Amino acid sequence: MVDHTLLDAIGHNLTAPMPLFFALGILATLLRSELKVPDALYIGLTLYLLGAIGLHGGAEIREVGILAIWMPILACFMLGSLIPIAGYFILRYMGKFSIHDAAAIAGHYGSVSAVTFAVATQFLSSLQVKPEGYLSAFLAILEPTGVVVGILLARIALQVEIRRHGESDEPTKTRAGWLRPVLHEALTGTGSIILLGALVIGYVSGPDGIAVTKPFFGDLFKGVLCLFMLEMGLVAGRRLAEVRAVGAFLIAFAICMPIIDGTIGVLLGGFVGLSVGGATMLGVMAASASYIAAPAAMRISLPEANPSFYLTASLGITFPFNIAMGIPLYFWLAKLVFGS
Amino acid sequence: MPMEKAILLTIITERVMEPTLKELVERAGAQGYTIEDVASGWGKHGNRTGQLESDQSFKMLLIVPKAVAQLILQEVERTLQPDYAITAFQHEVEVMSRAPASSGS
Repeated sequence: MVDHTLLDAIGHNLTAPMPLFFALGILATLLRSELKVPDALYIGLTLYLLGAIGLHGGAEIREVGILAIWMPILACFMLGSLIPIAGYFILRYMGKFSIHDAAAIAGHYGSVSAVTFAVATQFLSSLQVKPEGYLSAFLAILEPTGVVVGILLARIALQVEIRRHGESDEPTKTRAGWLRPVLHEALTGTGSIILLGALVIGYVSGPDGIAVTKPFFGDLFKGVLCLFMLEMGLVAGRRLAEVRAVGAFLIAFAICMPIIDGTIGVLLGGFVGLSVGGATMLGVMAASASYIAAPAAMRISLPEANPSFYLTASLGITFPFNIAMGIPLYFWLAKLVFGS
Repeated sequence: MPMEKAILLTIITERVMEPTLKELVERAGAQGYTIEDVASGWGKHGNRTGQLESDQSFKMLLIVPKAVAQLILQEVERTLQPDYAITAFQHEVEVMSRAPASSGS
């Protein structure tokens, strides 16, 4: 009965247009099609999606009041810090990755994918499940937290190494003032500033603001998300060729880590009082790995880390896994544990 | 038309290094530069598809005196080359002389 429900959820998810457009993008890459989403449109779609997500989140925070959600916010910070720490130790000591690589990959998993979040909201809405709307604000918390913790881990690990052995085997460049460019990027990068800005605009303008922008930011959302997923399929498809090169351990990590993180996110979400939909969404956020903001930040702060590892893991494996299997899995889990 | 000899310096590197490179060339004494987007590329650092910010490249063009070009290249070699995809090359060029200050502009 339970298995049947999980399979049902996966089947329901896989026949939705967003995962199918994603699959089309991958297929087009494999067939060496000329299909391309123009750069300017891609940026436009990003602005649209994050703008819409932010507006709704902001309006919802105003509705429930910021003081009512301090427990979920705390849970969110915990996830953002603990996931990269756990990921680092797994990669460093079980996977034998270098300090830089382990920290950079772990930071990606602590950070979050807004697109996975958007696809999950559509999955839930197709099942008439309503998560707490303010959860999109947590994207803005998780995105920089994971990256900063990942970079901090690398710096601490290198210091420890130096203290223990006199010097590190790995190149250690002291980058004074490393935090400032990272925070600057985290707060003012294209995605971040539109998300944070839209959250504030949504908060200030409230339900009226949502009502007047609904024809654009509401009704068109699903269609725009389909186009965006097509582009993500094209980008992820090009990463698939590198999957074999990253080794069996990282492939296993990129599939097991989201399942573990997603489970913890779902359980934590339920314990801090979120609904089944909300716990699912916290699970999705915990499970997802960043592949837009985090790679750019890691390239600046941990240039010794190999981008092929973190991009292939987060974009080539974890993202497709979550889109196809992860989202229904976390929902099934949330319903199993917290559903009445 | 009076012409002056100068160096045309071309630097192609990762998008994330744009602020760093701009600061570097200004500190070295460049009086200006032009930035161009790079669609995609391939080299020692793999396939730079241009699809994600971390995967994008840009090209900086500068016209500078020889001494400034040397200084920029030294700094690029010291600070950026070890960790980032970077290509730099120079040409000797003849540049239209600047109009005398008295004629405005």
